[in-house]
Amino acid sequence: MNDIDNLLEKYFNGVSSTEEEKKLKSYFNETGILPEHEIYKPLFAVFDSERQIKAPGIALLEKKTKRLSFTRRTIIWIAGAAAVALLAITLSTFNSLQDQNREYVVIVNGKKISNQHKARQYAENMFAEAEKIVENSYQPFREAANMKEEFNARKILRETAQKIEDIKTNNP
Amino acid sequence: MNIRQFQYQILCLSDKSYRMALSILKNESNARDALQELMARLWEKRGQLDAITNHQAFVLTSMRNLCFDMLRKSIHTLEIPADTEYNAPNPYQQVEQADMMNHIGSMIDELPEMQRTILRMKDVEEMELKEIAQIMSMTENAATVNLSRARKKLRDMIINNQQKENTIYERYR
Repeated sequence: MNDIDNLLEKYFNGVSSTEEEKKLKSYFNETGILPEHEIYKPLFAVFDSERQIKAPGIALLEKKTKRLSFTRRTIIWIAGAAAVALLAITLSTFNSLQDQNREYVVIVNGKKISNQHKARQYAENMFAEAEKIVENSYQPFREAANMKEEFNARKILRETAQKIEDIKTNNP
Repeated sequence: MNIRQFQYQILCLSDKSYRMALSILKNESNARDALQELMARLWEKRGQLDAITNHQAFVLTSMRNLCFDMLRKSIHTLEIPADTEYNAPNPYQQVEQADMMNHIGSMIDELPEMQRTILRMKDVEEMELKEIAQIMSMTENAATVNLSRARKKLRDMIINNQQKENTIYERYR
């Protein structure tokens, strides 16, 4: 197998032809490799296995460009809708403001109240209720603060130390 | 160039392009990004692709340049993906790493980029030196020299490795 030695020599010098390299590859791919050539077998096997690596699937190219314009289109749509909504809101509030200027009207819970005294009463009642709600929602925080006070490690330790002292002095 | 032509002349080079990206970037997810980016860019410029005579050389040259761009950018940001975790090699992997083929794979990855790209184009992709020289924008002679250096380095590493194994074997026999 002097032939293979020659081919290997040419291969490592980078001057082997494609034809000669094919010969080498098929030699190393088959059984009956001479013991002195055995160490090069994995080299050619690596090339073969790397050739099996396949590219991962990539996103369809047409879709990508379409998707870009699609997002742009949705943005334009949303912006347009928002502009229309904003315009409608400003117009309606402007209209209702103009209505209210004519006489004293307060809207409470959807009811129109034109009596000033009554409106004030109503508002005060609501403020009181709101205050109650706020008060109630503070309750857990207060409890937590109490708990924190109760479970103060330093205090507990101090008290326990005191108790131990007491027991010591009572039972000398 | 319509979608059918693009498929037959450009997309069919995906495997080769991906393997090149993998060889340069040494990272599967970055290589996938590179391939996606390359194909998206080529698709955008598909109108100009008809003027190119050698699609394979053009696509692979573009891929190499794109990979260099990505490497340059990643050096600036030195990005480490958030989900990176260090996996200490377990005994099975150590056995696997002892496997000669994996060993040679990492030996190739240790070669300078130019040498390993040329080596893989020649020995994995089985391309002609003339085309390889064109892609690397060097003379055929320079490509031959680089190829020879890469192969000889591999040979030396393989022989060294063999000798090391033999001495270990002798010692513990």
